[in-house]
Amino acid sequence: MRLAPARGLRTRLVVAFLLVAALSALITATLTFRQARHAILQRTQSAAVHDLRLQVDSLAPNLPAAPTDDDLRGFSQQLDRVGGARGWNTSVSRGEGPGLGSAGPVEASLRAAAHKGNVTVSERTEHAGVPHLLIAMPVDFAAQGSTTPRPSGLIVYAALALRTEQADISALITAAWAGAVPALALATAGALFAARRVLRPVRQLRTAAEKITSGALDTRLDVTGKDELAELTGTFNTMATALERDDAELRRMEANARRFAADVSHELRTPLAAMSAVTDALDEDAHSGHLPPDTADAVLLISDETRKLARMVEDLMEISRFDAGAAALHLDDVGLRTLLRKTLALRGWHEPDQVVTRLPQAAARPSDGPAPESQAQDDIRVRVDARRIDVVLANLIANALRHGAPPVTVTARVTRHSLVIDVADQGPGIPEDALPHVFDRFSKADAARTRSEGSGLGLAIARENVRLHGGSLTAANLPDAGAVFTIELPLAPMREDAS
Amino acid sequence: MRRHLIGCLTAVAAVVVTGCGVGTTGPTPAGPPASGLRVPGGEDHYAQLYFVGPFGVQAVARRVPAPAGPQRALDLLLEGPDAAERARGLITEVSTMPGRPTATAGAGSVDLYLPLPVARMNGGGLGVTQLVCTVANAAIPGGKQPPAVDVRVHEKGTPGVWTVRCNAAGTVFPVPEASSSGP
Repeated sequence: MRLAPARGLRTRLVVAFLLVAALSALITATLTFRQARHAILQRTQSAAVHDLRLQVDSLAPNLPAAPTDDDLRGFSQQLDRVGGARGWNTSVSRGEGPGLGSAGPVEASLRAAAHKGNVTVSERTEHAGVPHLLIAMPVDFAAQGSTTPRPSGLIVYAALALRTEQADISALITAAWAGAVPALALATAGALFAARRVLRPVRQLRTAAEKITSGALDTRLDVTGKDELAELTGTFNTMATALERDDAELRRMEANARRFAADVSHELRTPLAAMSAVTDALDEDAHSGHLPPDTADAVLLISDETRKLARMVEDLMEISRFDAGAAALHLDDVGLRTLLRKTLALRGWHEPDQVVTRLPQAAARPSDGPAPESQAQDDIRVRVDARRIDVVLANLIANALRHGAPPVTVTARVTRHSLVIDVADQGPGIPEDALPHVFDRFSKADAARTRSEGSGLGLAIARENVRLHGGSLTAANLPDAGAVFTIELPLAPMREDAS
Repeated sequence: MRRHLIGCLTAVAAVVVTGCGVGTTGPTPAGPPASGLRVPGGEDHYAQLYFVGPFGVQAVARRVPAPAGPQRALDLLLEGPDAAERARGLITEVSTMPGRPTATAGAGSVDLYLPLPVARMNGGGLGVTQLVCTVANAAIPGGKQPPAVDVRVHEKGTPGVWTVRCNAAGTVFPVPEASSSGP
């Protein structure tokens, strides 16, 4: 049997208060009760012994020197009459002899104690649920001159019921209970009040911390009082201030960096456009054979690099538009198969040696076989921004072809709420340590490869485009080999415009 | 920890359970014994006074240092019952008088002088009975038993003397004139 630990601070406080209050009340009540009971019984006993001695002292001279049994019975009767309100019953016995009078049989232990020590002895017993006080009082002969009185062997017994005292003591117990219940109620009220005092700041702190967690960094609390909780509140406010300041600083720096990238790419675009025009013209010259072979090679190299640079600047500007929140979504109903086919055709990728597509269809058809023109009605209609999804697919497939190995498998399936497209390759997969960073800008899966064919922004742009659709793009490794990128686009309500 | 807790709770419960009610005790000393019994063949002297109780006139023995003559017994009676006797319900019916009654012992007889006539005494008969029986049971020379002692009552302001005796039950009755002459 193990007591379950109390749950909240409030419960624990209330339980502790109640325990302490109950224990205090119990101890106080017990000590008071015992003292009061002792006083009540002691007074009764003293009064009874005193009265009995007074009467025995007074009546003893009336007895003849050698009293008969009748004399002793009369003596006992006279004593009984004196009892009056106290209502005792008395009897008289000679030494060990039988008691003469109205008192019941006397216990041997009491008789022996009185007889042996020649002292008055009292005892409390209980008969039929009623407590009784028994007194055994030996009677001495009258003192002769200066000598001490001699014992006569005569013992007077008195028995009185302690009904009044019992009632008084019961009243004490009742009073103790009547006092304990309000005390416990008061303790409960006090505990609840204390718990409230403690818990309110704690609750406020929790609410404020939750607000800060959800982004409301300007949350502050009022500091009341001077206790530890007030200090904690003050520290919390300081922390929130520091957090807000740092956050603002970071945001400002990030915005600066992004604006710088956007400005740079924008400034680079115009000269690059001019350079592209010039290199296009030079390309024709190089291909025409008018130039010396070395010069022609150099011209081709320059024009190639210029095109790459132009593409990178385009990517940078695209990313900057996303960062600035200026990317707009132009939704249209398009066929998934048409979209994918256009993407492949535009990039010059061939099925099925480079890319294998597996699209869901009503009719059972070899997904990798050439599709007839009449399949338009089988095509899945999706509502997306065709240009952006084309960019996403192209980036993913290009990435797969570049880092993995052909054939790249594009698998689409429609679930209840979303369209899921997997792009898997046959390559070695993505290293585990690079997996979390594949969508970062300019991240390189292979640190040794310093120069990449792509801009390093392809996957980042792909992810931003998917996000613009309200979907998600994730990367993982297949169990056997190869990497798989999963696009998940929601089918149902979609934002018309991201900006 | 838990053992301690259970121990404490048990102790508290034990105190609570056994602590209620009056409770019993064994024999405990409650002071010295009573005293005052007559020593057989002793030399003590007692004065027998008569007071009025719920059941009529009652005799009360008082220990006195020397044999108490009628006057001494009368003085003790006029002082009234002591505390213990009052607790037994004993009172005196002897009314307050303009002077002290006096008593003189003769041989086997006592002369009782009352400062006012019996007819004017409040309480009447019982007061007179107390006076007569008390003096009759006092130490009287002559060796007569108290019931045989003649008490001659002299009332102030009233001529004549009447003679009475007090029997063992504490009842006063007049003495026939024939034997009143006495020795």
